[in-house]
Amino acid sequence: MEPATLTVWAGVVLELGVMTAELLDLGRRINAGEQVSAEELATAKAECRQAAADLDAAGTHDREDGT
Amino acid sequence: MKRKVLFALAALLILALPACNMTPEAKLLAARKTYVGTVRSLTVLRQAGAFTKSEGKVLSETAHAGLRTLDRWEAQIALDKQRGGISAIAPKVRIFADEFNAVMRELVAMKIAAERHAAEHARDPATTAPDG
Repeated sequence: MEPATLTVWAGVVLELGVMTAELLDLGRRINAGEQVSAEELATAKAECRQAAADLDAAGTHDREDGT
Repeated sequence: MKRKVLFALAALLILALPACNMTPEAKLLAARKTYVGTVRSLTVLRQAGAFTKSEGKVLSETAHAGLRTLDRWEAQIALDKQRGGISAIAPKVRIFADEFNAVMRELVAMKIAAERHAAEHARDPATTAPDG
């Protein structure tokens, strides 16, 4: 496998790993009776917007159709 | 095979979380975290050139649709809380949760297609530069 492909895979797995860890942590906290704070929700909202903006910005790397 | 296991684990986790005794806010937070993780991994693939221009356009539109659904979901929770009826929340929030799940399924399908394309591209000898 090409080093560049490996880097991409590593990036994807890392992001999915972070997401899984955060979801597991959330599940653990909820089961422990912890409440979700308004600040936490606001932070998550801002992260969603930033993630969508980053996805749009990555559009400069899109290939031409049919390639 | 590893990829399939990873997706199966992620799907199980997402399905298992609502089964916990979660408040509407906690469910929304879990959905937002799922969204961020999925979109970030799609961004990594997009930066690597895994999408064509038209695929990228659909990808961005789908991601923004997910963002709008999450915002409407949050607004509905706030509205229902103002009205004071937790029993009234369930059916409406359920609609947004289902809508969000549909968007996420679409995003994951695009991600799998892009990963497949990247893997095929890596194996294609015509696209690999010769040594030297």
